[in-house]
Amino acid sequence: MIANQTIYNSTIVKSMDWIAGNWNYFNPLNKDPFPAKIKNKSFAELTLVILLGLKYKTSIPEQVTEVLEKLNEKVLEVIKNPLFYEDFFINPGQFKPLDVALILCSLVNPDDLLLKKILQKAYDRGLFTPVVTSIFRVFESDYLLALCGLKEFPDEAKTAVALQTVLGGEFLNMVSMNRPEEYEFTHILFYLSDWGKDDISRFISEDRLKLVKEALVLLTGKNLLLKNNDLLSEYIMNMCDLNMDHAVLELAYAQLMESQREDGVFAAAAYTYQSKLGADIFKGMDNCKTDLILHYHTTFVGLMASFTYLDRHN
Amino acid sequence: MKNLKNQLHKINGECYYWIIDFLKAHQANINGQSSVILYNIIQTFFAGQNNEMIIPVLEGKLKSLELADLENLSAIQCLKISSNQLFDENPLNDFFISLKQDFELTAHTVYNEAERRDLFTMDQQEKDDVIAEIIESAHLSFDVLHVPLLKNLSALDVLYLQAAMLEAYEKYDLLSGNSLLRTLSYLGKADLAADAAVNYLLAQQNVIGYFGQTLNDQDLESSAAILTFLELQFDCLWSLNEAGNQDFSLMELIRQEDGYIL
Repeated sequence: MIANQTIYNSTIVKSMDWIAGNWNYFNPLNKDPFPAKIKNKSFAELTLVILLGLKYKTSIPEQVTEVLEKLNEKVLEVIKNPLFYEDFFINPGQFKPLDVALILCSLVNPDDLLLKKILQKAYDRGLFTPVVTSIFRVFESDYLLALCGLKEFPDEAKTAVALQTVLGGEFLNMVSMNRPEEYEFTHILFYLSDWGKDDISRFISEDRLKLVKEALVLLTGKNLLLKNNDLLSEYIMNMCDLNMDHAVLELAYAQLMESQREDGVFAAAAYTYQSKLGADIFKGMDNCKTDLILHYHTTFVGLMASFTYLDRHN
Repeated sequence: MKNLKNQLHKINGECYYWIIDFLKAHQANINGQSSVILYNIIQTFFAGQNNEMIIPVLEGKLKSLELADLENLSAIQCLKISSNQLFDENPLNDFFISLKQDFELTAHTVYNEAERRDLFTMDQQEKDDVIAEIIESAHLSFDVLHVPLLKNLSALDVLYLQAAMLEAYEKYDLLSGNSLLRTLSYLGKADLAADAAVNYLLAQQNVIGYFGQTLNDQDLESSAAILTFLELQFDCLWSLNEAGNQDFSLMELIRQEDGYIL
């Protein structure tokens, strides 16, 4: 058992309860949902929280697993509702990022026949062809489709695609590295390591792996200074997935836990959202909903970082 | 550090030609203080060049230096210029002697290592104080491995310095970024973070030689703006040469010129 495990456990129970308590907001079939873009994105992200949480269920408190299982039932119910999935086929252009939700939900519920049929039909009708043609999205799509057995994604292809992303670069732009690049970095590592299941040294050279690890440590340090819980959580997951042993991992996790709000939220860094507050979607919105939109993502990611971190130490 | 040593010749050279042009074009607005910086840049980085046309011009200006001018310059600039023979019989020599004595004293006394937490968990004031001391110690020490404060830096402390350096450059605080870059070089921690810092710093060198943002017409009338700009040139060249060339050490150069220990 790691030091502070009891505190960490109660921290994640609190965050999990916050999510469950706000289910109505995350439910895309709710009559008063989030604005369209956020509605789909938050729903897709919720399916990932469920997938990762249940993947690590032997390492996290039972209380959390129970909440995740209940949420899974609710999510499954939504996805299997024609009011929800018919939209994929009517408006294929609006499918993303619900394509991810569909795949992740299928991975959690591999025996659900209706879900399988929806997934297969969406694949046959070409709905998974990435419309965003950045290399990392191509990887994401092929990786997820391979996970549910719809497509082959051989190791050589993984290496070739991954090295075309920021992972194959020299990291010399670390001073001015922007957030999309950092996201590309963290996500390609999630997928290439198959969330810690695969050893990425199978795909990249020893030297490159060394460089990648060095970059991870530095970017974690930078985001610690910036108090950016979002990227910090992702780097915690990456370091756990890569089995890294560096003092900054413990420090980053401790700082993330300390930053939790009384209500369970892991707040987003002010500098990342302050400029957005004037945006149209927030005009006339009540404070509770605004707060949810601003901080749900970091809360989800913070929780996923906790699942991963606790599993690594289990 | 990747391939920087080979590039330094070009980096220094481009800056040199810009400086010569600048000096010719703006001679009237270059005061005594700016002359110190220019003189130091030339003697430090371009001593091998044919400087016969420039040095007399600068020395002419240095003769009008006053004590107040020196007191407003950074200590490193004063130390570097102090060995100039111009000042041997000059009243300013007293100032230089006491400056050197202060430095010698500081170099042997600043390194008190108290019990402390790692930099990430300190409060801002404590952090600022400790970082200032780390930077100063690293710049003054003969052998950083024998300085308790420096040899006891944890992996997290080093990471903090690296992250703070990247952040300083990101905020376009070149002087702070540079002082951390040099510190990390002295500590032998010139790894990926330093490579990224150097890459950024090189991007700040204009293709015609100078570092940073150009002076506008109004600034070119102002001696103070010119001074700040020239200090930045010195600082960037200094940092790149320390980070990229193991054989280069400004403090060592000063020690050699003075012929005694600082």
